[in-house]
Amino acid sequence: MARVVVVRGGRSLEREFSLRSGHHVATALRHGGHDVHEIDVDQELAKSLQESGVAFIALHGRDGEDGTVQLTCEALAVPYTGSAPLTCRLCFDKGLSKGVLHRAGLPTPPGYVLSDEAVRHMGAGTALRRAADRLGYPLAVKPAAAGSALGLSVVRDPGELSAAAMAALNHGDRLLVERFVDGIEISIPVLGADLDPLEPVEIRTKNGVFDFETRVSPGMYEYICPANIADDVRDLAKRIATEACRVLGVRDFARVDLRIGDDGPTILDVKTCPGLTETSTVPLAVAQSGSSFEDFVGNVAGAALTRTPTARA
Amino acid sequence: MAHPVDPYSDRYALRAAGMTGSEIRALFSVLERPEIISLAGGNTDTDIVAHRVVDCVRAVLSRDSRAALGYGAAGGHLALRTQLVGLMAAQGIEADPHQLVVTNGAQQALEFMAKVFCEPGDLVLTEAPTYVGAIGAFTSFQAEMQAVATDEHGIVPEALDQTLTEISSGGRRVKFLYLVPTFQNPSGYTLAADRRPRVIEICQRSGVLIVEDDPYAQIRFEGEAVPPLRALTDDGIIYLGTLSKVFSPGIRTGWVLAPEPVRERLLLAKEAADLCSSPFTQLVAAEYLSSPHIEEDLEMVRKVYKERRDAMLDAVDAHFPGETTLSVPEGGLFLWVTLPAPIDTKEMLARALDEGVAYVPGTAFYPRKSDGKTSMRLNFSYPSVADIDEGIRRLGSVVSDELELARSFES
Repeated sequence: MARVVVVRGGRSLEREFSLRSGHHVATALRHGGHDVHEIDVDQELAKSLQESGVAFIALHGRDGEDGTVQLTCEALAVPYTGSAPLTCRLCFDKGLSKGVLHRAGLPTPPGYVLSDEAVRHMGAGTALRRAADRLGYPLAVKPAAAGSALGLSVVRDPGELSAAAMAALNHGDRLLVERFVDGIEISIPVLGADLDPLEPVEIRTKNGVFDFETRVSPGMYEYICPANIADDVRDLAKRIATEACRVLGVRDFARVDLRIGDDGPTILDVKTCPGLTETSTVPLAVAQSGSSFEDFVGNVAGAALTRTPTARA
Repeated sequence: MAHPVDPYSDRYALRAAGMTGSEIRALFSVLERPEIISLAGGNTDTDIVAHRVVDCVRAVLSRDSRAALGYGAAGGHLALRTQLVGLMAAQGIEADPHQLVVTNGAQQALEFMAKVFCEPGDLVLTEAPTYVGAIGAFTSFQAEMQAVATDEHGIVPEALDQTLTEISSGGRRVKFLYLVPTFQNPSGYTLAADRRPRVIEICQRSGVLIVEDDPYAQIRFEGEAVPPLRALTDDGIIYLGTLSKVFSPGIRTGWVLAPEPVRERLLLAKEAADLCSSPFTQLVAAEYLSSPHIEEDLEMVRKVYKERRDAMLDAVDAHFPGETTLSVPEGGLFLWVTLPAPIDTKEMLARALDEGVAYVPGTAFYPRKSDGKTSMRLNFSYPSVADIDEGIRRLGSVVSDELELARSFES
């Protein structure tokens, strides 16, 4: 049995979630009979990766979701789980992934990306206000590249816009302002070579937004699985999730977050390294499908072992 | 099918269901990373006393191992209570060992205050800002907290009087006023000597107990000592002490000095909570307090912390924008820094952590989460002078960056 190195923790503000995901994954792999070693992101990372048979990447946020660790694995010719660096980069940057999805004719809320540089040095605060007026309130303002809804604000009037933009830019150098879709929020895990969708998990929150504060507050939200939505909407959402992953080049597994508004399902985000904690939506949907988390992580690691990273520009 | 994220959620008592998570705590997971300089904690520099502990432990185990390793009395070991009475006497407080209940740090005493006095919805008044651990302890028993206007000389007596009058005319009753009157956490403010009798008089007139939390008084670097409220009167004051700041937080030793009937209730609460505080650590603490070293060590603590406070003040002066206001405490562990609006220190924390420095945002110290947005608490007792210099340099850069961004939006 190949030695599996679970990479978890990391330098991002999602470290706490990643440690929990990594622990859950490592425990399940051990139960499945794998030789498992858990490691953090530090100067020894490349050495530890080199000594592994396969890397299970359970990092959230930067390094793990933006393709940094994946690129390192490629350079070391170490097989790793999940999507290739380009897809990671695309999905981690919501501005880029929205562009790809839009071109493919897939629904995603209209929005604009502005950079910190443009705001500071090009007077783009005005552009933000104009974009906001054109999109219409309420708006979602968030970092273009961050997870766990860090820096997310729902802006209901222009007076809140600057503070929301600052909150977003505290988590990265670009912000995304997009139309807020009022409706049911669902997550659809997509798995395997055929990117098969699992049953949607509905997320119900007490304050209507699944923001970071809610995510760290047990009791402020609950999951409904399968989601309480009409069959035709469910089927459409699942088709959209699979197609989104296909056009973005997702491999092994991902989680697609959507909202179901008046115009049907629309994609908020595609996560290439989604939460895998005991209370995350992916393990819940896996269990709902009749499979075990142990089998899920075993299959993901097994799929990675069949690949050898190849040199590419 | 509904899947509560927590499968036990329908079994919790209301008081536990109301306990919410903390974004700040979740983000602070990165403090484990070696590259982060933390100005966020409340730790003391235990290196100053660490070498004494080995001797104390050896003495206790060779002399009193049966007492140290067995159960003890709920009120605490008499040897320790006797030493604590001596410690308080140096502060001008007259007490008898039998009036004390030893607790696991003063934090346990705070929980006992809520447990013994507060029904759900009962009102507790505090300074603004106030100690975050008190907010947690009191609200865990569903007490409602209301902050009273506070300035650099501590809680404002006129504001306290007016608040009590308004509450009383609304038909409600305040259970107690919670104060950290000397080198307050987080602000570093000290309640002025001339305000202390007025605060006592107002509370006595209104029938409101005062819970005086006094962890920092001995860590005075300069200025004249101000007597604790409990040194002025024993009527209506419950005094909380701790060895966490003058000896070691890890020894988990605090105490309550309370009127006899209250002490009886506290004893029952203590028995129900954990039977007794660790006799082992109590005896180690008593051994330390009976040694000739405490005053010598306290002098060293004051000297080291003053150097660090001065280093932090100098660094803030050098690296923070001119519109910054800050407390200049004559003792204690913390600086309270207020930045120009519209900076939101809670939102800015992500940028600071990314730059390798941590602080506690001001909102953590107010019962109402919309307060304290432009403030932050900085700890100077734990980090070295070198870390303070570098940490404040990083933080100053983050603040300047944030301010520039904010002004870009205004233009």
